[in-house]
Amino acid sequence: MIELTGLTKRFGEVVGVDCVDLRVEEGAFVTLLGPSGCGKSTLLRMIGGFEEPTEGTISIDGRDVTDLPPNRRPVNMVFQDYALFPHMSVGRNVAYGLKVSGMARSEAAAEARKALDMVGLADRAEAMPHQLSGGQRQRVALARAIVRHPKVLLLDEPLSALDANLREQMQVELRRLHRLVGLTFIMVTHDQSEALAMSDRIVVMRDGRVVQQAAPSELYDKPADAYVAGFVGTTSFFEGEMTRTGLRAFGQTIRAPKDLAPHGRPARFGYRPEKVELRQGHVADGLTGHVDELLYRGDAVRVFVNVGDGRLAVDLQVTDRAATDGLPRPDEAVTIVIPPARLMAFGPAADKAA
Amino acid sequence: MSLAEPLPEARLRARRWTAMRRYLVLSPPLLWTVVFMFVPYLTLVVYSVWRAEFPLAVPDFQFGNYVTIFTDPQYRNVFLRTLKIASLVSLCALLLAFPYAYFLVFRVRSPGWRLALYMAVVAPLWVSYLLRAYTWKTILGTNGILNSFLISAGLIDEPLTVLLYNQAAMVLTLTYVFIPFMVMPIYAALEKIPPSLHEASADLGEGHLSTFFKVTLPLAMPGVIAGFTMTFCLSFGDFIAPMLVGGPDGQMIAGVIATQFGAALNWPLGSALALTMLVFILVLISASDRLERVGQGRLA
Amino acid sequence: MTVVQEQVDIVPVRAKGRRRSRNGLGARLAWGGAIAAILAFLYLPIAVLVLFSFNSGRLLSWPIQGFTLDWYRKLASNEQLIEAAWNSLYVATCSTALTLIIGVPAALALDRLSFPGKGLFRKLVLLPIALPGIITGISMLTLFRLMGANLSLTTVIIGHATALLAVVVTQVYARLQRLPRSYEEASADLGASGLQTFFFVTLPNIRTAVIGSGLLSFTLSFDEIPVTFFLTGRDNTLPMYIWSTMRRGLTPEINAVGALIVLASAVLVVLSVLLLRDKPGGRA
Repeated sequence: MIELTGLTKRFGEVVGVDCVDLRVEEGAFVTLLGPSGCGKSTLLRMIGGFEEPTEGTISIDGRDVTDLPPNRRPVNMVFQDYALFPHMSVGRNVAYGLKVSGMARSEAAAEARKALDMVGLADRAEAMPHQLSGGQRQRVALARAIVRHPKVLLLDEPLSALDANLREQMQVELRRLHRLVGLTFIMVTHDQSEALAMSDRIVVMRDGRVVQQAAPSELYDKPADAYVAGFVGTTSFFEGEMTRTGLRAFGQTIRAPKDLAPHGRPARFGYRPEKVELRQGHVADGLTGHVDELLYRGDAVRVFVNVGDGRLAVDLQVTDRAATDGLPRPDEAVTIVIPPARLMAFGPAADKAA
Repeated sequence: MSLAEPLPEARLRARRWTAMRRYLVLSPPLLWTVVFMFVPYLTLVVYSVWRAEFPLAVPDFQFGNYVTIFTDPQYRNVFLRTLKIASLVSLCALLLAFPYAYFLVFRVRSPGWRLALYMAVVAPLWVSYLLRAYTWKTILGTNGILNSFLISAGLIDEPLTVLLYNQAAMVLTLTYVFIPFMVMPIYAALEKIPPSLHEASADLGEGHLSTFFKVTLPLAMPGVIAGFTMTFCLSFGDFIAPMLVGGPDGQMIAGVIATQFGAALNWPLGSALALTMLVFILVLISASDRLERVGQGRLA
Repeated sequence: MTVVQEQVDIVPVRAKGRRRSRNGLGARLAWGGAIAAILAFLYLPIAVLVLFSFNSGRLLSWPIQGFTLDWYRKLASNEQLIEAAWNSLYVATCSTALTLIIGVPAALALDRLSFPGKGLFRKLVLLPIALPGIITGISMLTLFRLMGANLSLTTVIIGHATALLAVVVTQVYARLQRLPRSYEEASADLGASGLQTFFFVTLPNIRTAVIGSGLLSFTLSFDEIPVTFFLTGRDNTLPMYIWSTMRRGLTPEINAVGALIVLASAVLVVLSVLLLRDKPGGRA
């Protein structure tokens, strides 16, 4: 188990990581998610020992490792550029970590072969890194990191250097490897779909702070604030106010859970565009407006609807029927029906963060 | 939340140790530069305010040596002559080096040939500087190879005496010796110019000459400035070539300094001269650095 | 407007293309002539130097009298010269070793560490590249005099190492800058100590820069005069010996030494090109 307490990193005046407390259970696949500059990489590099925290502590299995250099931490890292040593063969790259800690050459080579076997590259041990494809290099980097049986495997944007097709394949591969070796994985990414697809738990960061940590489905369905809602998946936002009869927005009232937000105060609300219904004409208990524009996406169509002075989005699944006659046309009057359970509230309306 | 509470003593010590070990790498070079570069410049300063009482240098604190340098027309003349020769050398080297580098980068298609021709210019750097200066002395002398060749070819009757022991011979020799320092930075600068810029310029209907003046030359400027500064500084401080091929009117400032430390045994004056030269060169280098950076901004 | 302009533009570009190909031969001849002239300027003097080392006449003048190896035979029995050559070899070897031992950590420090006074340190180390050797020479001379140290080959070695430090630092630093820092981090991450990382990961990747700058600094030290001039005691190095002979008079014997040095330099150049040729894929 990894425990970060009050971990802070300041670069002069700039705060990179701001008092982060985090517990990662053994064997979990945890992702640090956030836009570039949110401090996620710095946090990972502090766990790896490449950055010295300004304040706070890092402990692994109850042992304080805050002041240990990288070579004395039970942690290994897969670097963004893989950092395979260009002058060593694949086999020697993987065996390197064993060799420097004094393991006999033949034993190290055997271990390296086992690790390479695990990533399906046992036959490329003699190859030089430059002879490998991007995906193969990625796997060698993985093998090199797991061969030492670390307590934690750190992955710094491991898939960002791969092209889109390969990326999904490697996502599967990484999940499989995680199950196989049973190590704790901590991955950094800015790609929310990657985070949702791979992790047991996602830690969303912003401006050096942890905004929310939750399982992927919980994060998607119950984002802690507008920032998370906007960053993870798509959210259509609008402003409104809770009244006794329901949620009032754009001069219309829809049904909503009574405790969604404090009554009598303007607040920000939102919903996931794929979780609502779009009906023709005016329908009671929905937000009525006019179709503005349609964006065709192959598997879905995003419909933008002008409601009052706002603009809301609805995703329609493209089935055969919808593709032929079900799609609304621009300027047509439509109503968005939001199931009350799908409504999300995000504090006072003044928060324009997302 | 830890509000900047002081770290425990043990952890501070651990951190200090990590930092110390890192600085162990630094200590030999740092020590070396302080003892053998920084301190010598200081001792030079010390000597420059001492007094010379032939054949000794006597501790003192006075600026008489500097006053001499700046008031005695003898030193002003040497300085101006050195300035002139160094400028001429840099100019000649530039006129030869630029077309050569341009040819390599834009006209030679095969990378093998380009490397070979580049090495052809840089390789003489590996051949003794002294010998390269010496061979010009054997060529240009009154009974030297050029004169005897011209006579045996029937082109002249009497050996030309204007070839050696004058400023032209010095410019020629120094240009020959330092030209690689001009080619290298210009080549590097030209090589960095993306070919797409030339194509774009041609696309916009610019001719060869106007492409050269509007695109190539401005982008090559940092290299030209670097090469010019380098060649200038090196020839400015040379005293070997003047002694070999320069005549009585060929004395350059470094030669004067060498004399003060040698036959004249006036170390204080020599130190003051050397420091004046050092300051002049430092000003030149920092000015050219600034110019270069302005130039480089254009390709950023 | 843009469309019109594009159509108009195509014509002159095409016309220019045709003109260029018509002038191709002339331009090529002009360029070829100019480049040949520059190369002749660079290499004729060296050819002359070598050629006259085989001249049987005592005078260095045209025409060449005949072929002889006498001058080389004379060299072989010139004890002063041979001693000077050994001295130079000794000086060049020691000062090259010193520049590498000091220069490589200096480059590492400049690239990987931040410390107070780094700017000044960088300036000081790199200064001798553009600074005339005479200043390095006399400033160290004043230091040794104040310290009361006797001038000897040791002071020459220290002087050379100082003057040539910049050669090693610039080349190794340039290579380090192209070396991703993640290699060293990965090595530390995999459990290697600082020294292990340096010898197993950093050094193999900057190998060519280290060898190249070492070879260059060896050659430069072997040929050095301005610093040696001020720092040597009674022992002469080869260039100092040649210079003192040269000031007495020109003899084909000097040409013979020169030819041998040219040969040695050529070998070193070829060696450095061969050694430094990048292995495929290895970025270093």
